[in-house]
Amino acid sequence: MERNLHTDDFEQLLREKSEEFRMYPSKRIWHSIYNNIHPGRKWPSVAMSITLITTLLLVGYLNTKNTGFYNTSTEKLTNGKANTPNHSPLVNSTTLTGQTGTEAPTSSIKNTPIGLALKNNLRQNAVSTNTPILTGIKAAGSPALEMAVANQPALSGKIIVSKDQPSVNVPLFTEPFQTVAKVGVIQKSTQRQPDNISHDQIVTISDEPAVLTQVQKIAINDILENVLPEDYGSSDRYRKIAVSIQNRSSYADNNLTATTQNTQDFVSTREREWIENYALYNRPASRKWANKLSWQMYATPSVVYRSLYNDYNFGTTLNATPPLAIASNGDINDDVIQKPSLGFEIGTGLQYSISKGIKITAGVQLNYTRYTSNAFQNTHPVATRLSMHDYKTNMTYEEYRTTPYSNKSGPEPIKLHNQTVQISLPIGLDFKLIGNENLQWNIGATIQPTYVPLGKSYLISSDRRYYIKETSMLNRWNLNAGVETFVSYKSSNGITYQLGPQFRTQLFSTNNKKIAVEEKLLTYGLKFGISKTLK
Amino acid sequence: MTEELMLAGCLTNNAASQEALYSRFSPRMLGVCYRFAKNREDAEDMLQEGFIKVFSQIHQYRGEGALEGWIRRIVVHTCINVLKKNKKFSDSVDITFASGVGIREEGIPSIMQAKEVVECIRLLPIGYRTVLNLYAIEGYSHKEIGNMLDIEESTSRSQYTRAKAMLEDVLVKKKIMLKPRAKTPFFGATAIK
Repeated sequence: MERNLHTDDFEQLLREKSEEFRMYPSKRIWHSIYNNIHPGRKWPSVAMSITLITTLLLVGYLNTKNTGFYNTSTEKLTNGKANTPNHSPLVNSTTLTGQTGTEAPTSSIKNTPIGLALKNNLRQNAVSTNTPILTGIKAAGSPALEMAVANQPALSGKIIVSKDQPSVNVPLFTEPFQTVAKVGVIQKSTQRQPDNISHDQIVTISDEPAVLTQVQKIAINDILENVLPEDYGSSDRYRKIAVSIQNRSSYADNNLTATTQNTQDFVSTREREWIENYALYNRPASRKWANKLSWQMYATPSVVYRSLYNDYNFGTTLNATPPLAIASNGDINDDVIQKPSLGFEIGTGLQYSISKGIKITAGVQLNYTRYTSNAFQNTHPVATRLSMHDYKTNMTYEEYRTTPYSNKSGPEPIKLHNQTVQISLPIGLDFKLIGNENLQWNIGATIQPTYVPLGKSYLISSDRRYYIKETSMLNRWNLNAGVETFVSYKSSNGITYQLGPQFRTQLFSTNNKKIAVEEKLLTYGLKFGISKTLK
Repeated sequence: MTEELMLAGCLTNNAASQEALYSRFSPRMLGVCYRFAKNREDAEDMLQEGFIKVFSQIHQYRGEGALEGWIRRIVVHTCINVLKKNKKFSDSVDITFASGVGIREEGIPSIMQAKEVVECIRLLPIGYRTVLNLYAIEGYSHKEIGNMLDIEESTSRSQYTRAKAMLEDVLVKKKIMLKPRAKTPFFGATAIK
């Protein structure tokens, strides 16, 4: 490439500034690149990710369960005279809830509206009035910790303050800690108003190491880091925190190359700058599955065949009566005249690309299967028998039935439709054989756990002379397997179209295994599908 | 790790060398992608695609010129390919689309220095922005840009002229740049008001 130098002042400025500009990609990008250039080493990272996610979920779940533990300890702290022998509750719940004069039970914070009232107050004020809720936190000497609460209609001037009395207020804040921390962040991004804090509005929180749990300490630190204004950096500890905040704010400044004369004109407030830089450099990581997950729907008109099979290993009849003489000793498939019929399949599912050429698919699918038996309708029902297997004894026995349908001859020809409605959950893999990003030839295979809610079967009698209508012996649960090959084309609008033949076979008999004649359905179809990548 | 070592490692598909190369060049290359992309996510996708190409074609680097330049060229071409796949892009390259496009004052971010320049570039319509990026910053000629974007060379020129004027306007408004001096008219010509 001829690298020209289009140098006037303007282009020079553009080039210089653009060269200075750097952005730091998230780790995810490198992992994706690594997985792409080392496909064979992907699995360990996938396994690690699954393990990590499981661990995180477990930890999250356990932490959620532990909330009860903190509440319990809260109750102990509040109730137990041994723990707080001379301490009356510092914040009167009646004051907070506006029920002056009524002494609220302090025995159970969990059951009183104090926590909720405070939480709601904080939330409402933070959202609706945009007033700073917690305007400052400062230390009044170790181990006491003072939390200033100002500009709160519900709290201001009503909170009893006592520096001398170690309070039991920690439990009060146990529940809304997260809310408070978030409020702090909001406040930081709006405007700091550290002024209107009177001593009367200070709530003392006991900070005894033996009493405060680690979680509470972390939460308090969280609040401190988020809401402490510079004016309150009086003690060493909080001065450090203030400096830390200062550093955090100025981090982006230092990182953004040298200043120009016009810098001041651009920066209206430090907060604004901080928010802008924060938004730029701390964006949440994009979804891992983006561009890998696609949603698919498909339809398959199909032709349904059947395969009949009689297991002759079950020999001896258990009935007292001798078995009926069968019309023919040949293959059962030759004794019946059955024709394939049209069925269909519709489904939807998700596909996840685990590499460039392999996709995992899963979804839900509805199949309608049908084939036809050519028979004759008799005027009157005829008694016949149905061969059954007894799996306990490995013997064949016969059950008596009546039927109007004859297989061999009768006054009126009739077509009997054997049909099922199946709901399946296909899970499988698609492999790309050849092709580029837009046009591909793929093969796929699925295994399909299947439920059969509806169906109608016409079973052949023991002597193969009659058809017996039977619906109660349907196998409700079955397993199917499918293989397919298809050509897919990805259009410019991001939708992928696919077309190709599909073969689906039933792995277990349509009917109960007690029926001697096993029937398996074979479906040949032409599948048409569309899929769209999810972003 | 020196560049030679990194290159040697990358040629043998050594993961550590590849990561070192990625770590060294990815921040600047993401900046490049960001100038072309609609948002940071798209920029990261471009970067990812670009580096996959870099690692798969690293054996084609013959040591002629700087490695960074070679990587940058691949990344820029990847960005262009991604943009070209987007139909909206090809529409917006149309010169008629861009005429009369203005920048709203309130849409201009108040951010600093290099970042602010890049953000101002990103405020331009995508057709303008791409041509400007390629010509003024990446140093491609209008002929090359025309070939890359499947547009006429003259279209590239006019797009650039308008992009430049618009960007100048933005930069002046944001006081990043002083108002450019009016060009002296050609000898004997009269400036049209």
